[in-house]
Amino acid sequence: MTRKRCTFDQTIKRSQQVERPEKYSHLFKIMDSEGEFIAQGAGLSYSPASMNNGVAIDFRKFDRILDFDSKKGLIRCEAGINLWKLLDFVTQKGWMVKVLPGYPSITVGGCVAFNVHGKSQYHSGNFGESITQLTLYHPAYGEVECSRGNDREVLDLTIGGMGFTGVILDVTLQLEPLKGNTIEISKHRVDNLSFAVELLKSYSSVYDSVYSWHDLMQTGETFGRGFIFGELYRNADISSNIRLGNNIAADRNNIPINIFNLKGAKLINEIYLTKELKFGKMKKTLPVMKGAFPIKGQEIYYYLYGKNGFREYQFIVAFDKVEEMFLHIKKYINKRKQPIGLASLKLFKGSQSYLNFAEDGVCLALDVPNIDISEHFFNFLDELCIATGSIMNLSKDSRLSCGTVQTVYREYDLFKRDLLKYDNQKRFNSVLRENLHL
Amino acid sequence: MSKKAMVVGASSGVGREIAEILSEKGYDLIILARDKRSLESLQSDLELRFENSIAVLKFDILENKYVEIGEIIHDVNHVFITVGVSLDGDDIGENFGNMEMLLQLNFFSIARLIYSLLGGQHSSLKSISIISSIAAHAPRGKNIMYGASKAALEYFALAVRHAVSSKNINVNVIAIGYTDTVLAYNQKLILPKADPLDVAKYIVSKSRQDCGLIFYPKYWRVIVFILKALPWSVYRRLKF
Repeated sequence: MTRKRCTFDQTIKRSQQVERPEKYSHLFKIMDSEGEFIAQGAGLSYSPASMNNGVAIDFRKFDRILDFDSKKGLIRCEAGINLWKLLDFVTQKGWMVKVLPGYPSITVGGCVAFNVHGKSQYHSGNFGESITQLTLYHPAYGEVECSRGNDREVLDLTIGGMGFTGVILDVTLQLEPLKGNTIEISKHRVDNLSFAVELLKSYSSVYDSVYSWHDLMQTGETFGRGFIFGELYRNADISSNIRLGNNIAADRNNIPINIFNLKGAKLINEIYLTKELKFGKMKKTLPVMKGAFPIKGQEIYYYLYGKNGFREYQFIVAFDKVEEMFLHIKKYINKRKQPIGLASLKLFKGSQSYLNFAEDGVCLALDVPNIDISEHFFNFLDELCIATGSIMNLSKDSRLSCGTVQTVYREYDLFKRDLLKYDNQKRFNSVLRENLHL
Repeated sequence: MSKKAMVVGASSGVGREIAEILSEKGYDLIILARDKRSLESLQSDLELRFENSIAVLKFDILENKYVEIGEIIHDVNHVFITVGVSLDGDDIGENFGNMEMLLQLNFFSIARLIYSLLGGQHSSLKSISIISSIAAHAPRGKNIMYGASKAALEYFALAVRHAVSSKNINVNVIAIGYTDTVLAYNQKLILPKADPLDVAKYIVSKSRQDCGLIFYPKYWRVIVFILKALPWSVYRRLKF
């Protein structure tokens, strides 16, 4: 039976055959058949990563913790485990997952497939850096255990490999000691986007994580006014009895109309800024399980984009190109009246390898409504990224073309070559893979 | 004194959820199923998270290992039997192999297992909970042997309940409606599927009471009542 599936941004909707095995015997039986497969975790990717013309394998029933070394801080878990369950366990044992993306239902397998980042990328790197070992299953090779010392090439192809090397059965992660049972979040006012970068840099040595929110609906000197958020782990006497509750789904029922038109986006940004200034505390303390997932509880935001959904663009620009990039973006938004629902900055460090989203620089994420002029805006951003040598996040944009990705990712050809050398049958395929001609 | 329970069919679906609930409540467990690897994964997970003792037994209910079961369950308080299988094409035909398999797995093997459980001197045994299906109450041409074997199982369980009534052992048979397990995952159904976790919570909560036959979700009792009240001229036209 086929099911209706859509990307998290709701710009791609299609029918998809899905299997949801619960036992290993069932999983292997499915994969003994012919055709192409792709693994699916929470199904929250913005890109068509778990859509294909074959079978998507929903992995969420494979969510068990297999081993835990409390002295070394090593945990081995099945790839379908979500971050909430994982974090709930490790924090009780005094450990922390080094890299956490913003939503608790995201699975570890999904984190591996896109080598995701969290709020503290500048300090902790990407998710893949905490992986010590993983077990893959590919019908042609059976089970393959790969680590830094064993089958390193397969490990490297799998981390950020978008699920093309097989299904990930289990992952072993190096944890870090938990520094406190709460997260103290401090908020700092910033007058515009350019100042924010300098502030982020200076706060990065003060806080465990720094990130920002900006109002790009302003013109002139206040373009990008907003807040810098700094997070510190602290021990505090606070109730930690937090329940997960319902999670957002990609195929949610948004409100019928888009609120984030030009006037709406201006108004919502204004309201948020005023609310935070007048009523929001400049410092608040949250239990780790709540503070780790800032989007949890704020999901209504995504529903406001209406039935056509939204689009997100996320790129890393080198420090010496930031000013130039921001100036172009400011001019474009002001001139073309482009509505921006959300803008956020983070600092990044790393170096490009394959198609991983890591580089030294500043990461800007932009959410826009899925309307005609946004397509033009994103094409403009593509050109800007190419001109400034910036890279964009493949997991965030369902629209990206092969040509753009090939131009900005210098190891595109190497990744494609190594991937086809590993599996020239393309047994693990997705619409994303087709779009990127991999 | 530690509490102990046995879950047959614990590798997936409602059985796995029952094992998780009991483990969280502090029970030591014996978990049984055919898929040993899935059981061992569950064993690791439950032992690490809840720090109780989980014993794994690879167990194919179609194989004759009941004596072995009888030996290991001497101190078990609660038994949950969640196994069952349905097949496509379970209509009038001559696939006698499938017929026999459905009858064996859904009725005869479970009946033998229950006899084996009750045959020993298990003074600690307080309850046996057996999962059945609403298919036993709404005969239809698409799953003839499945429905028949579940109906037989229900009759058997209620007869056993009568037989052991003097021993203070609760024998409950739970007819569950559409549930979001692998059996129903790819089926288009006219009513919503129940969450296996909710089904498991209900079954575990009822194991402390002597209920006999119960339905979950509860509205199925009403649906079954209406279906049974329908005149044949109407019932024969139903497409479900």
